[in-house]
Amino acid sequence: MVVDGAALLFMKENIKTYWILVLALIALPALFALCVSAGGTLLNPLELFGGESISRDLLEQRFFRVLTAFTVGGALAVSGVAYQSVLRNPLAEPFILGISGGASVGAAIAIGTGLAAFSCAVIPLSSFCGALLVLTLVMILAKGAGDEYSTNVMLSGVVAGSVCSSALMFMISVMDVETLHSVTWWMLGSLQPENSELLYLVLCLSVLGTALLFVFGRDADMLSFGEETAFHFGISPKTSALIILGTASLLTASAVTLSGIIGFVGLVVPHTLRRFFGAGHRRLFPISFLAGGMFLMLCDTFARTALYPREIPVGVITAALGGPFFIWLINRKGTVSR
Amino acid sequence: MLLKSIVFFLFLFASFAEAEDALRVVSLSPCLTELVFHLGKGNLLVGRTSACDYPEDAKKVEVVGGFGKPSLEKLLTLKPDVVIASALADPALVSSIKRFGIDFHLLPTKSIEDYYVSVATLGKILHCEKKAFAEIARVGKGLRRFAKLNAEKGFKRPSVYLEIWDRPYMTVGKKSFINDLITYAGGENIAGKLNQAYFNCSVELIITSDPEVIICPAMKTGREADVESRRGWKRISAVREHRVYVDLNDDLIYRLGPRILEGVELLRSLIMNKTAATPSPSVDVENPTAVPSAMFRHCSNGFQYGRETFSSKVYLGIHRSLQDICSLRISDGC
Repeated sequence: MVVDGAALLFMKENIKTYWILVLALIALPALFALCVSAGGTLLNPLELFGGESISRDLLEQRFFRVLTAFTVGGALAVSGVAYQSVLRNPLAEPFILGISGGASVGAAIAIGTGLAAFSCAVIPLSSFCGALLVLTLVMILAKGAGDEYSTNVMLSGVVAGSVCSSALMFMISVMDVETLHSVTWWMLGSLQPENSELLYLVLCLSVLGTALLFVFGRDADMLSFGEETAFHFGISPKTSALIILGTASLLTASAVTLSGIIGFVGLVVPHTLRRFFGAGHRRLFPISFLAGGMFLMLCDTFARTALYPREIPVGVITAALGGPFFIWLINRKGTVSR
Repeated sequence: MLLKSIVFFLFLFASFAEAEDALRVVSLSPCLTELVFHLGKGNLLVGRTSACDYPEDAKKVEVVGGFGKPSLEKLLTLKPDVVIASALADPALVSSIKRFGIDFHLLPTKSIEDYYVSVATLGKILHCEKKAFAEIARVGKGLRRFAKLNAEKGFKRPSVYLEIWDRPYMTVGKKSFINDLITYAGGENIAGKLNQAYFNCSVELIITSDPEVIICPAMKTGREADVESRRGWKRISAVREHRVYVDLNDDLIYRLGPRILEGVELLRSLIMNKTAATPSPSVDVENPTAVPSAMFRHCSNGFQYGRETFSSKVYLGIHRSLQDICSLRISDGC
């Protein structure tokens, strides 16, 4: 993948950045309007600005749900790109690395101990701590593996992920019913908007995080060639890697706070984009944010309309798309990077 | 000396036989634990789940595990003769329990009719058919009273949204007995036409159905405002008229046990809070035209329903109660 990424970086360098503008200004609003109008009944999205009516209530409700999906999808896709570049592993993704799991355990502890009642910032903060803790653990576990580092990161991530889900299961089995309900959905993932303050907070964090990663885009490029190469290119690999991984974990944690665990978004979106836009990270970070958001918007619209009035958990849809993609990626890796 | 030892052994044997005589029962469901106590056989109960907290005496019984997920080892150490359950987390457990020669009964809880079947079955197992018969008659009579109230002329059923869980929204459909409870209480479940039991429902269904009453039994006090401030909910009738009810004794509603009449009464008090209908005993229920007696098959020692056989007397009790339900259904136009 490293070779593949580098080749793509140079091959597709000429692709103009105006694609980002096209995505942001035309495709995104169009898709947003489409997702808002789709639901139990098809509604005209312009009624959102109209007078008081039931359709306006429905549209308002859908608008915030689609916005939640966009924010979460964007944050997850960007953090996927960041993990893949620094850990130099195409399979790196917040869900597979166990970071989402760590974030959800952090959030569940905040709910279980009753700390969450104090302020709406407690849950994001504790899930960020959980995410950072798991990331550190994964890095320490994988350390000292030498050439196998990249593989070991993934393996320790998988272990950390399953340990986190058993920790969640344990908490579910010892907590009382009311608390249990609020923890269980953490494992299923749901984009039902609850708290608009939290949504705005996470949206701001995601945009700022993506901007910070954009600034460190060149460093991410260098790091994906290996730490030694990066050092010779004149950057400080340790500092850059820490900043990039930390920002990615913050993005993951804030997405998890809003929606619970939704897997595979950080895998499907970045790899598809690399094929079209190359592996240059200054371009990849902003495009991933837009495209990741659009991907999850579509998945969620399908999840809430396909079996109306029942709802399918959105994680089911992303996993159904992401699973086969993951397998394809593993097989492809063997042939390309050799 | 010889005589003494013979007498001693005889005595030992007798006491052993007496101990053998007392049935040892383990209940794996809170509603069945309530029912066993209600039938006056609480003394036979040697095991319960951690969820079985009613009546107070039930708490003295040993715990074998969680609701529907007992520890098999713990269960076996209690040496039960009969294990009763309404749901199991692991269906494979049935064969494990039966392998140890324990009589296992999985009693249905899908509709309110299933309660009669549970009562009749327990009456047979615990040898208290008379009490079971009386219980069936009591509940049947109680439900008939509610049906009468609902059958009054000019009575309009308020629409009801019952929230089992808030994130994601979960409610009950046609296949749950809770839907029957709402119907008896005089409400109309907004998801009552859907062929589901418990399901994650779209928020759009709730907004477009415009329920007149919202009931969230498990939500804590003070959270009505949270429900009313949900995005897009402000035009719902129940929110406009502040008819959101939270923090109820949900055991009355969620358990298909001897307290269901209280559950219906509780729901009715909320649903009828504003549009109170005065009972008028002069109105009579229409006569039933069809009774699902086909559910029962006649067999050598009584009547059979599923795999259970009942004596003719119990069958008549169930039959009568089913007639009541049919009369309700017919007068409702269902």
